[in-house]
Amino acid sequence: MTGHILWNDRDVPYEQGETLAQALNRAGITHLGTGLAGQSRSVFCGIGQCQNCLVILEGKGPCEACRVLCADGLAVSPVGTPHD
Amino acid sequence: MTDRRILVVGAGPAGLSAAATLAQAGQRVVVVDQAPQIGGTVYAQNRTGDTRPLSHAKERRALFDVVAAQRERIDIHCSTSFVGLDYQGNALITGADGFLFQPKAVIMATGARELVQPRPGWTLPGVTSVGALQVDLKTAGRPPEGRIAIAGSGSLLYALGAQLTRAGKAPAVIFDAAHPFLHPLATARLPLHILQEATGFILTLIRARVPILSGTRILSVEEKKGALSLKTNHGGRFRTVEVDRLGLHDGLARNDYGLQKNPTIPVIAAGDCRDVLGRFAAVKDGNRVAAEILNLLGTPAPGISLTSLNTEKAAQRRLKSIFAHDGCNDLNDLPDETILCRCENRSVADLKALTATDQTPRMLRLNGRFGMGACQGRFCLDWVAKLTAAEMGSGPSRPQRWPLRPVLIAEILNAADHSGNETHIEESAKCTFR
Amino acid sequence: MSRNLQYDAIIAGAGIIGASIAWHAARKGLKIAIIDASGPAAAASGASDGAVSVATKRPGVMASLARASLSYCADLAEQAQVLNGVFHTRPSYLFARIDAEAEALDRLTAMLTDQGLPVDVMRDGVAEKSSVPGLGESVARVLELSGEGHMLGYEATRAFLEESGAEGHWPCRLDAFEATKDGVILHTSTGEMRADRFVLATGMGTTNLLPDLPLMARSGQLIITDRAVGNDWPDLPGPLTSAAYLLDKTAQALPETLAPVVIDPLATGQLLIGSSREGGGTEEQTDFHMARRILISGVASLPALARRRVIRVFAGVRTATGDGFPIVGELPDMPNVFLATGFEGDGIGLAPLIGREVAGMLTGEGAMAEVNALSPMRFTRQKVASQ
Repeated sequence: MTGHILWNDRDVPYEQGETLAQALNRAGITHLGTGLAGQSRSVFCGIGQCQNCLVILEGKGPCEACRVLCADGLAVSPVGTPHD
Repeated sequence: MTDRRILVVGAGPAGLSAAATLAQAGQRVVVVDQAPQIGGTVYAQNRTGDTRPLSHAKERRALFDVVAAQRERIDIHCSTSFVGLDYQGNALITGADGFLFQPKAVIMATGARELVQPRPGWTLPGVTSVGALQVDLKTAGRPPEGRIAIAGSGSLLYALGAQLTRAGKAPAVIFDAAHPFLHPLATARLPLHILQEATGFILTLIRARVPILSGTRILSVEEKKGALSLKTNHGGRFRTVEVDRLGLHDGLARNDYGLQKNPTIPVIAAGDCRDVLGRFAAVKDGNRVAAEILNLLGTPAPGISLTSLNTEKAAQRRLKSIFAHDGCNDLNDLPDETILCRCENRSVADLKALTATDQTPRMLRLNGRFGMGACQGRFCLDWVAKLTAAEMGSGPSRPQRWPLRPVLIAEILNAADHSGNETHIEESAKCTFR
Repeated sequence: MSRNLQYDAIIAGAGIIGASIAWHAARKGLKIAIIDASGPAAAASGASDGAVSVATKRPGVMASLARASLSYCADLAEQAQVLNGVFHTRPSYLFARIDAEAEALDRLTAMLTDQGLPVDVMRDGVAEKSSVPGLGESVARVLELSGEGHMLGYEATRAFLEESGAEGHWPCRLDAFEATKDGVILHTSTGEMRADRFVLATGMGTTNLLPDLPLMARSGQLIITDRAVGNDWPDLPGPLTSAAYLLDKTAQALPETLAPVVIDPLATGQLLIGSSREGGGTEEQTDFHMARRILISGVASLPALARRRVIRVFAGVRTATGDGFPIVGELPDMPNVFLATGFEGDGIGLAPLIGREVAGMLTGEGAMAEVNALSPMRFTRQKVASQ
């Protein structure tokens, strides 16, 4: 089974069992957002510990892209920058 | 009121063997794991439907069979997180079907922590831990695109190198800070099963002509035209290598983050979480810790022979000496702008700027912000402790409270409360034994 | 160590109170040492919100002290500069969901007007018209205040210590002290120290030395989120406090969804969510049930809160007294020994003023009447152990 997730309104295909990070990565998206110093957010530890691949799951909140499995129609966007 | 069950956190070799031992002794067990399947990172399987054979398939099968035989007493919850214990001994589990309950004991079997030393450029996209590349390979069933370099130290560099090669994607190069091939005597004295596995890895790499550069460190990583440019140092000879991905690994450490101080119920760590001895020892350590818990609860416990654990311990000591080196980077030589803490964006310069008032374990956290970010210090505190050892003796303190990982407020509130009564948690295991 | 361990005054406790006393006393020319069993801001000063609030104080002496300290904080930030960049004023919001809460807001408005506090009501009305976006349906009314302040306890502690030039000794555990007419001798884990005067600003630690003082720990669960937010996060300009918090100080039982809650935005973009009042406790005593009560109330007030992540939870341990007032002043039967403790969560806001007044006591200049009212003399029949 396959499907699509939405990354900033862009359709990204996935295969069953893939994490958000795996599907995004395969679509050439490694830059998942911007950290405090302007550095890229990207996968680092791969097991949900380092918090470097944090993305926003629409309607749910921040989550680690390396841990969440894709589901059809899931809308994902970069983490917002803090207001200060 | 105490639930009748024992909580096992982590469904890897240590957790599963502990759960099976407890169940065999008549105990009811709840196993939770953050992954969608049991097996831990070592026995992680392809989730995308690819049917190529798994590595360690036989070991995995054997372990799963022991657990499957006790299914009646073991309740497994995958895709869930253990958030922690509060001081009254309540355990909070969040995720697919979260719940709050009071176990009568907890076994922590969450595996080792992977260490990666900070280096200039270690925060760039494409730079990951070796563990991340390995989990990705196992669960996606295919290697990533592009040229891959593996660097740092430890046997995992060779394991990943060989696994990538067998998956059809030999790494471009392996940089090892140590000189593991200069220790034939220690190597010869490794137990046969470790020696066989290591030989297999090395032969695979040699056959695929993967360059292995020992005694070589990565000084810095830069992004150049969409690729990663690595500056390496081999005994004073400097080189630049261009790749697309870099896996970094500087060893494994026990996992001692976030547990409540002086818990009111027995809490014991098992497997690599307690002491990094590898997967063979983890199975045995799971048995041993289960017996320890049974003894603490005053119930009959099986006798556990420690011979094989001691063999693995001796083997790990030898491996450590084989892979010994004087640091993948000299931390003290890191340029000021090197990021130490990604979460709070704290650099070497920020650490140097701290004054005497800041140099207490508490102020290093509060004012220095080291260890205060979302990863809770897992990726910076080891290095901050080393860099501040001269001034403080010890680094910033590690948190000893829940949550063990960041947790959504909605998930804290959605967890069903089973702590106040004897209600059993619904049979909602979502894992399948294959 | 060949240091001369003789001082004009020694202060035990490097929290915000001790640090403020040290800074003020050093400015008066006193030679000061400050000692602490672990280090700066190791207890309540490092585990608290940073509210410098008048609105949440009880009318009377406490509100009057809070008012004086709030104005003085601004002086220390703008003129003396020691709290420059540490103390800020900011808007704050109190909300009511039920009649009892609305009545508390009425009482507060009356107090603010009557006492001529430096805090102004900017707006008071239905939630839909307030300047806080995204409030939950249960919120009926919002009172918006200007002029209240914020400073983080550990930042203020650090600023006072760094600027004081006082000698810091930590880790240095105080085992016992002897008060004589010639001065005070301290027996510490790092040796003997002597001073003309001695101040105990050791919070709950004071009970180890003076077990008969009517001090008790009263802890509160504090919950910290990470910085990460989605697009739907409503920017909070200042702390959002339920009026139940005002009621809680007079110990009224409230249903779970109305538990007192404060949602306090930190400069980092994180939130500090608090806080309960529980008897006893240590910093490690975090409690899922209590934390859930606070969060249920928080999410009902600000639904987007459900999509934030918690990264830290701890119990802030306040040092409370039998009669609800701090203890500040010279001990009746121990000359040259002064106490400054028992602030029960008001220590951050009161520290600047208390530091100034206690420094005045150390030099013999004396203190303002409201502070003299806090003297330990009021516990007339207390027996204070000398060791």
